[in-house]
Amino acid sequence: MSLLFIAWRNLFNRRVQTLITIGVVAVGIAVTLAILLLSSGIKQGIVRASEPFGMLVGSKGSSSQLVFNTIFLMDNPLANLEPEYYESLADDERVSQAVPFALGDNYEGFRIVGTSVSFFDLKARPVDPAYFRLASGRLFEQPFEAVIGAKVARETGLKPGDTFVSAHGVTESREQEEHTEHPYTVVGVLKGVAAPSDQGIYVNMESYWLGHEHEDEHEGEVSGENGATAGFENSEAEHSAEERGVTAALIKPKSYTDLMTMYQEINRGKDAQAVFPGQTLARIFDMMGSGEQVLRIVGYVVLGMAGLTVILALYGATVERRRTVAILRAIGAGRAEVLAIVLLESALVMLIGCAAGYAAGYGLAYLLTGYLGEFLSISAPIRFQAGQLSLVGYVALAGTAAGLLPALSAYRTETARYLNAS
Amino acid sequence: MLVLEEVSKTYPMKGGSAVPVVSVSRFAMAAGEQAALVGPSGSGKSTLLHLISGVLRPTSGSIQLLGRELGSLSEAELDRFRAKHIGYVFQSFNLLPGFSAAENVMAAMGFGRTIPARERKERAHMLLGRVGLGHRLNHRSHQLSQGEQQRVSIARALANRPALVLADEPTASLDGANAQIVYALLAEACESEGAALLLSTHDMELAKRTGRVVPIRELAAREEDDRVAAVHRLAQPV
Repeated sequence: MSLLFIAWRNLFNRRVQTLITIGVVAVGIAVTLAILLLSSGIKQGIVRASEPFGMLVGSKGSSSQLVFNTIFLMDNPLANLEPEYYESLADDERVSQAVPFALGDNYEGFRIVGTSVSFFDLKARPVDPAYFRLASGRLFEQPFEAVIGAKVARETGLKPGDTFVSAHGVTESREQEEHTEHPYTVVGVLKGVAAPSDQGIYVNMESYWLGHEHEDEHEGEVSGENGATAGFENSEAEHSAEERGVTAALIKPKSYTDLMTMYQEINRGKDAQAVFPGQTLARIFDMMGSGEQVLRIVGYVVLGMAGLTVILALYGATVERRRTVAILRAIGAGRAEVLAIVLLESALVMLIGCAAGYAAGYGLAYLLTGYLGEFLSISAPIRFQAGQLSLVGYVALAGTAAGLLPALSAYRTETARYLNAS
Repeated sequence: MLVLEEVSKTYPMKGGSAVPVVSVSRFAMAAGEQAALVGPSGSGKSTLLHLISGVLRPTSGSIQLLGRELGSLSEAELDRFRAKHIGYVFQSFNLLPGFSAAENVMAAMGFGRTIPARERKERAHMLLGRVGLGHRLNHRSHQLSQGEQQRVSIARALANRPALVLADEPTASLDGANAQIVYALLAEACESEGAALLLSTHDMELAKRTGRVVPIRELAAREEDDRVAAVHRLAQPV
């Protein structure tokens, strides 16, 4: 009969206490691990979602807002870029790819993005396949054809051949003005990329502009009814440059030098700002850092409390264990063997607790990732990380070491004193 | 086989005084002999058994078992020596909680290491069968009656084929009928295994059945006391 078996039997004999201790260790590990996994996963997910977009060019204003409404389809869009400005960017010989990006309407809260088919050629890296790929149907070819993101298809039930009517504004509201004159026909559905772009409805720029021209007609009529002087003819004439503009331009220069030169040129000018999403995200991460730090501290505190519980449980058990130790000594167990049995008990508790906590930590992180994916379309990839395994290993070692105190107490147990207790 | 000479055990008290608990001028047992230490409660019977088993160290004197001076052994050596050569039966049974009858016997074999691992299970079953528990091998201690628990304790004491079995009030927790059965099993099992038996009891009838009654008070080292002669007589190997 091995010492391990004796340790196991002793634990089984105190199974309620053992299970509670294992549970506390597991919860401590799971919470800490889930926080660590999620914080690094969310960062990776956000960075990955921004990769295909290249340099963003939008009107002057908040760079974070530009990143949020272009990449995350969140927040209100900045003012439009002048069409001439966009054309000059697209025609710049240093640019290898320019993709227009315009926001304005929504369907059931999902933003409608005016863009060109070149949007679907965007790649995270030149060697990568296109980031946006069709799951079914085809790309849009004419106005009022729409390609919808995977989440839009999933939540609205739209499929190729279906039609829908957009509503004005970037968010859903109770009294929305619907563009019933120009229903969109779904022609394609994109494969899910577990990114905010899954929540987009992509139409060509013509659709976007025509929709808004009609919107202006509508607004003109309403104004006329109210006695204002502006009428349909005026609005037709006032299809200003801005109305044919874009919210942002996604620019991929030919070389790194071109990228940096253009970045500086654009930001020096008065018309627009150029933003590297990575840079803006790094700033956002810095802001999030203090919150993340607090969460980490919470995790470590939970872990510390779990450690104290283990010490308390093991130490409490030594009082009960004294008689067992005395019996073991009387039937021939040496002090070293008794010490080993108690250390094995704490090692087993920590091993099982850490293994359960490790699995639960990943499970919790996956659940929370699912929640983030479901509600924010931010994919937080949860991957095995050796660093976290070593953290769990250290915790297991520390917990086992915590068993030294009761083990030494068992080691010093006066055998004769406890043998006659009944 | 067992020789005690000028053995004493005292416990220090505050103020520098010491309380004598055990005092033995000379005591000896031959291999396979059976004897009973008798005396009232608190007379030091259990302490003397602990001294012989090496669980306690004497304050002075010499204890030799199988020719080995126990005082010369390190604590680890003494643990190993006890595991191999001494079996212990307690008044309160002292079975390992949560362990089955067979596991209790095998645990002792694990520490003794005299029985090859592959033979341990078979031997545990044989010993438990010998004390009439062949049908209770896998029952845990709390599932056994007091008499059955003491029988497991007897089987465990004999697990490593010890030279000496120490039994501290082995029948004190049992009713009359059970006490008779358990003593008979203990004596018979020790005889079959070739182990000497030294038991402590305050039951004179039981003590007489061993064939040698040793009143603990008469072991005290008092040269002027004429009981010394009796002690020496008792200490001669049979």
